[in-house]
Amino acid sequence: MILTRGKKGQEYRTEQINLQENLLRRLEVLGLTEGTVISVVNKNFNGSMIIRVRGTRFAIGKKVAEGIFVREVKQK
Amino acid sequence: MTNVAFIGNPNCGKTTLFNAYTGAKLKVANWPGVTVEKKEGAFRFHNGNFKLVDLPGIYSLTSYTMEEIVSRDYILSDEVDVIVDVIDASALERNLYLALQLIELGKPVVLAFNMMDIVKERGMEIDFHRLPEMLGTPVIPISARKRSGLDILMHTVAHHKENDSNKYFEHHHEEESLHKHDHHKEFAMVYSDEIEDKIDVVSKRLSKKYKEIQNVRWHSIKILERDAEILKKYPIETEDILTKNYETEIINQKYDFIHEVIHECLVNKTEKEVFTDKIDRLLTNRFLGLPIFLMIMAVVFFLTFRIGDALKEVFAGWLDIFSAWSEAVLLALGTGEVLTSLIVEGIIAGVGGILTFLPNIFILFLALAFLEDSGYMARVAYVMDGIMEKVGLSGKAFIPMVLGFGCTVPAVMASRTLENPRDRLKTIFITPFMSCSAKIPIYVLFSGMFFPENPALVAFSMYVIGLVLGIVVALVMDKLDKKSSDDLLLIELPEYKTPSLRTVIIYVWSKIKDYLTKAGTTIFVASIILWGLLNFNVTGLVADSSESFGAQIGAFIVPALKPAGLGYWQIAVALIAGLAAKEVVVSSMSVLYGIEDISSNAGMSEMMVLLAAQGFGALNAFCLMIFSLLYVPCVAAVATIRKETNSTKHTVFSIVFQLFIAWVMATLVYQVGSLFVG
Amino acid sequence: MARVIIIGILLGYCAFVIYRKVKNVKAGKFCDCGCSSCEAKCHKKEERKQD
Repeated sequence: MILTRGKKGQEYRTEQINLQENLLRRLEVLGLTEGTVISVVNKNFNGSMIIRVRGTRFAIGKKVAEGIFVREVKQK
Repeated sequence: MTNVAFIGNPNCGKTTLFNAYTGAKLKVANWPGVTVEKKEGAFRFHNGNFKLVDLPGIYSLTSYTMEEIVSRDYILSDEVDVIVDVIDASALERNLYLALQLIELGKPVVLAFNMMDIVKERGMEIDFHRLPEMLGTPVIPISARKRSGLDILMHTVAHHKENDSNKYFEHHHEEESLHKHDHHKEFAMVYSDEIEDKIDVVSKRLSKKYKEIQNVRWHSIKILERDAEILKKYPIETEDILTKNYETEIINQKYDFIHEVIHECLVNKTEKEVFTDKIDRLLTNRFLGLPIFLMIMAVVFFLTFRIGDALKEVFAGWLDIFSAWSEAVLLALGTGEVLTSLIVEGIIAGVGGILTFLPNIFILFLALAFLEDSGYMARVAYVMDGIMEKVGLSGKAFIPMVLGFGCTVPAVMASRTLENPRDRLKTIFITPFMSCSAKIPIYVLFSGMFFPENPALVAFSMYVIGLVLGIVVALVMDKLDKKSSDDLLLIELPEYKTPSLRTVIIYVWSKIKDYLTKAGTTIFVASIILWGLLNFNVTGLVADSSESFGAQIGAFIVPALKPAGLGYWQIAVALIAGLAAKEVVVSSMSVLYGIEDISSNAGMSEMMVLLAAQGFGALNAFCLMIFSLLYVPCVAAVATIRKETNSTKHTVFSIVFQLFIAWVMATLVYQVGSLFVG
Repeated sequence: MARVIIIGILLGYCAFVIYRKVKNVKAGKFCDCGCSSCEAKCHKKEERKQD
């Protein structure tokens, strides 16, 4: 599923990132690569969201979130 | 001489540290050929000379942005003896990524773990014995804000310059490496066997073909990552071994290792994260986020006007005393009436009038400093993303707009953070609509005179009008433009922290200093020129200022201002003078009407009587405020727009456009308002 | 006498302010350069000390 459909407070593992090259690179150096666990901290009405990746919070726009494909991580 | 390069993630406190060492002794230079700036400073420590270079804040050493390329080339050059990587120890995971890349370069690296005060505050502990074992570099805990650990860091730098050879690594990796050389004794960062095999092959080919390469391992890793710069510089045959791009794997493995490091060296990790999340649950709540932001801004402006007003009266009292005293002294010295008039009615009234607004300015910047240093500003970008998206901009474009409430000059420059040129241009066009601090005296004066019941509310309405108009203009531009923005929101949200007193004081003091400098230079000279224009004409000294040069110039544009309710030559002169700096609108009013204490209650009522006699009422005052809010920003802002857009066409457009909007809005309000007021 | 001195000081100061402003603008600095946090980063320059 795409990240925009993620629920608040839930963790997801990225499976695929389909974004333009330069954005993809920016995400990569911030530690968001395929296989990274993302937790959704907050969601806005327009689809932008706050996520936590490797200990750092980021605000990402809807168009960024739409390019990230994730799978839910089962919580213990 | 030891050359030390300071490097680190954005927001890691690098510049604070740099300033702590060099004080004011720094030199700013541009990198040759590019617009990225570097700062240099020299200082002596224990008989050793150090040259420090502050590099731009970056997240990694790839070659995708100008900052990264510039920093990387500089670090690789012989000009650097020791690299100091400044690490925000409160965000260790991300900061260690750059550290691992730097260690891989093979140059002497010292890790400065900054923000240790925050780490302690959060109850976290870091194992400084284990860290160097795992990373093979000295790790020094410091706090740039509290200025602790600075001597130890420089001491380590001085020693580490010579002996970086006796590194030793102690890792407890779970799986045994089957690789033929055990790299775990040589390097901090060791990859999977598959990648290490590839590195070995590439290294062999590289060192055979290019004997001059010093750190072959790093270059080989870069080739595995398909780094454009390195591939261009050292082309080698790789098709047979590199069947895919290893970049993602290399990044992931680095982060895996970081995970290992953090697992072993960081104790009590999660305590305070919960704290930031709790605040964020409220401040970035999808329903409450926007109202809370508007409320915070409203509180900031009401504080600015209410507290500022109370203090202003005290200042105005002092000004009165000073003004009367100067007049007496000057007359006693026998300086004559004309010169006394110049000094008392021209300079003291003009400059002094502006100085009495210092409390307002102080409180506004104090509040803005708190918002910036607490970490809230980045959240504003997220909260406003919904609205900004509708007008074709990302939430990030809202940060320059908020900064515009302080001063247009740095706000226009802050639009650099937007990568898309169209978005930058749009943001630069709308930023001047944000009511800057120089317009505060205008609001205080005119809303105080004509709206005595609700002066703060009327002043606040100016901020709202500016903000709404800016957003509407962006919307219209977006509709005309058609092409949608692709500058997407991606911004780091720092953890909330109590603003540091030091940072806030430095920030506010620099603004106060700026304001005082402006009063002492620009406004000083403008007041003298204005006095000259109002007291002379071609025949020499005039008794009545309505026959002066100033009146003639003002009369020339009065017809244009008439529909907006501003058809008075004095107002015209004040508005023209205001182009030098917006405060001058107020200081010139005092010179124009010959009022020595314009900001005191007595001065205001005196002025009001004079204005009322001309038929200038509350509606005219409101239109004047609107016009002042929207028309061409001061010369400094226009020059900044010229510099940032690098286009005379866009600058001229911006000037004409602002004038047009200001005139249309003021005229609209005046004409519609006249129907009701009669 | 006092008149001459005061006029002299005023003229001198104005000339200085205008001269400095013109110099700053020519050097690409448009504001009063007092804000340390400003992106213009136009801090006072110091000649680099020779090694």
